[in-house]
Amino acid sequence: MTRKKRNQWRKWQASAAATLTVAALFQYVRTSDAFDVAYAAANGTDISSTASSQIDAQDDVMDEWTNNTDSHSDASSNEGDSLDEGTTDESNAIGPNQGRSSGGWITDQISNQDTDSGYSRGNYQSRTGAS
Amino acid sequence: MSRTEQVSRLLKFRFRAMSTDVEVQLAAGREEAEHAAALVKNWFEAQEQRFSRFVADSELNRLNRCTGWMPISAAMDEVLSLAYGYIGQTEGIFQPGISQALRASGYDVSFEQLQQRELLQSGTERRLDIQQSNITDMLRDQYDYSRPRWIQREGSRMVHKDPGTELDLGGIVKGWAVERIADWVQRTLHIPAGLINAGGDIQAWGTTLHPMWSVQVTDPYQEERNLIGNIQLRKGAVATSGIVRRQWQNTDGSHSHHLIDPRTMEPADTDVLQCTVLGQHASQCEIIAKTVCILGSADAVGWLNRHYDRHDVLWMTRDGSTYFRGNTDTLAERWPGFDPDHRFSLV
Repeated sequence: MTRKKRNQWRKWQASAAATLTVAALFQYVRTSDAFDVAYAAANGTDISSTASSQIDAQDDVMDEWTNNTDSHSDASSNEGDSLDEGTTDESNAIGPNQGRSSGGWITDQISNQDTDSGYSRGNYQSRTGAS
Repeated sequence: MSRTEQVSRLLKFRFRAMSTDVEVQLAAGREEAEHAAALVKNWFEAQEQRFSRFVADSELNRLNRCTGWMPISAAMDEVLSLAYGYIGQTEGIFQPGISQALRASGYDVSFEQLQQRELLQSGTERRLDIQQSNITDMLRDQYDYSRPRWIQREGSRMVHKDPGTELDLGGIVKGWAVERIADWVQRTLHIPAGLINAGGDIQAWGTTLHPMWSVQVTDPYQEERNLIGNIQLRKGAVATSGIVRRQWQNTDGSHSHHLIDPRTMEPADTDVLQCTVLGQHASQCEIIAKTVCILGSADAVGWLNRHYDRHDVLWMTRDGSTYFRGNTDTLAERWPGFDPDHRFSLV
């Protein structure tokens, strides 16, 4: 009798474990992006929003830039010219009326707090106009 | 200084790129803000090298020289795809295939060089060495301005231009670059509030402890002066376009400007001096502002209505009148101080 009860308990345990495993597996599949795309496609619905969430995760444009920046940064550091210092070349030349250049930054003559770092205090104000 | 105090502190950086001033305001600690601003600067310099028609070896110039299929970067692919869409949205008024017309009208070097050239040479000595006949040929050759002059192969980043087409992406790249890097700084560097302004094309997000971003609008007649009134926004985009700032004198004494009307392939004959657009995306605002300038007041209202456009659009005309087309219910809240002479509600 005791052995019979123990076997039943083991069977119940095995059954419960199997059920939970299948449920967990289904939940994993159901929450995956691949399931969303397959489900939407099977129902003939628009998958653009689903696809865009996948595109969001992978941004080719910014990846392309950051990869180039990394390699450029490595190369320039070898030449003693780091990204943080900025660079000023002829194409970025600054006119005399546009402020003083500090490592490629334009610094305001009056309001600047730290001219070496090229920043001043922001004020939640800006200006738009045809340029 | 606590983290909250650091974040609420706003730091401003300025540099020169894409022939314009770029301003970056970031709510972050000093080191974080400096690092982010250096990356923003690098981003603009990289895009200038890629998209400028005044950089000999830019990707755009290589594309313009290419006669067959050409592999392009992800950035070029995205900008061309966007431009493709905007050609449809603007009914062809935004048309990147105007490079030759721009050169023919005298805009054959960067605007900074153009200004220097005007100073060095008197207006009568200026030489326009571009054959006007090329443009005439384009018009005679049943040129359909309302369709893109290139095709992209889906999924492969390959592009093919129509024979003889030269693209100029100056009308879209600045707004796109602003919008893209603002989104990246916000999303990737987790900077809670900031504003990026490239020559008047602005993308702003978050205000931390401050209620609103405030944007002044330049007086088209006097660059140092602002119009009375300002724009208030928590997040979103503002862009301005106009014909006064980038104009020059021709040999016959007439004035040209950089906004080419693709219907005539000449600088637009328009009553609009300057147009400012408030919306969500800098590139879209930039395109709408340019389109309104090229179309002129009467056609612009019709175009905006036909497309059920939801942006707030404010423009000034040669006779000094101000027009507003947009959400008139929120005009006083979003555009405090402005009192347009003509108002058109959304349809």
